[in-house]
Amino acid sequence: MRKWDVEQLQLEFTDFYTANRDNCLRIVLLSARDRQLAEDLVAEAFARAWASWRKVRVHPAPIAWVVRTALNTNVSWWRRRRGEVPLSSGVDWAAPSADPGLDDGLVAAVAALPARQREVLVLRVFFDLDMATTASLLGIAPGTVGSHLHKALTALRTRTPSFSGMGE
Amino acid sequence: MNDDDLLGLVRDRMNRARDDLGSVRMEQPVSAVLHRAGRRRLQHRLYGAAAGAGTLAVALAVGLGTADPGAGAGTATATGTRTAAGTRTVHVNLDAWSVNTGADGSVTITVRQLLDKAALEKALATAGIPAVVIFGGSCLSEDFGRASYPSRKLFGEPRTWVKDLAIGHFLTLYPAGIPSGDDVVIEIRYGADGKVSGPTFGFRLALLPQGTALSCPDSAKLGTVR
Repeated sequence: MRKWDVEQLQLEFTDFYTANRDNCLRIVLLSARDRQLAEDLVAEAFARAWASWRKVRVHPAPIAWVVRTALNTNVSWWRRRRGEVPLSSGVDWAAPSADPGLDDGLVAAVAALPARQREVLVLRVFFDLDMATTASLLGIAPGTVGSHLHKALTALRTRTPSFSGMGE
Repeated sequence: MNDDDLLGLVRDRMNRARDDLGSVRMEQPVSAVLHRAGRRRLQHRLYGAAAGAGTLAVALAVGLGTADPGAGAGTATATGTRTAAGTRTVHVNLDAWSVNTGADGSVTITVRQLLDKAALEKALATAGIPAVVIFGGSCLSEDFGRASYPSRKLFGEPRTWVKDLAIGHFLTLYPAGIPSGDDVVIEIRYGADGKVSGPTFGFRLALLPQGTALSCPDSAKLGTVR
């Protein structure tokens, strides 16, 4: 590979990282709920993106690829870390918001979803990916995406106080 | 309310929750991410080479088991790097020491002789532990937590990165619990009889930001091959 190519790719990746890192961090933080962990996950996901940049740069949803990688990494790290006492998150989740108790409850309910349901929901919510693209990104069938999404929404309807009472 | 309606509601509120985190910013520069990717590439090469040679343990023992050049004493600098949160499974068993990854991702270090410090640090780095190993002396003062080093999470504080630090010849750490940007300083002291045994033999641990200079007395044998 020519040096010029590498430099061009690196510039391109730098622009991608600079433009999207904060947004990715905030999305991952909503699931991980630990500031340090979320930053580590996002850094790891971007590092993997750079390692596969020739593939990721032409992906239909490269930012979604990064977020999905970060969430996936969280699952494997969590498996190794279970049994540990969690450190302070560094984010004051108890801080009052404009809509007290509403979004915090929803965020907690999303964070409590099984990994695959959470991935599907995050991709659908934040990136508005259609079923086919979501399925392609996750390596599962479109019908399975629909099933996970339905289960996730059913769980949120049950577990989120502000949604309870909203029938199907 | 059907799923589409609920999805729209969830989308509105989750986007609002994300926007509420507007002050949260990624602090790592792109250079740190590129560096991290470079380390991943090196790890993959090492892992691939080890697999090609037969077993990882044998390859690491051969590749990492180079004799330490012997650094005398004076100062050491915390410059070890962190691997991708301990994603490597390492089993290195030499006469002098062993480094083994457990089923839960923890890494157990067993010491029988204070030899090959550099190889031990490399094995630990491969296992996901960025470590500065100090043989036979102390660069960490007794009142380390109040000393000049910007230490964190030392004695008496929750140490989620330490699984087992018992009296004996081994300690067990969780690579995933080591904060990014920190090195683990591992001091391994001789016993009173001058051997790797006895009541005063043991480990002392600390986390230090990478790049922190350690001031060590001349008695500290920084990797000297005995």
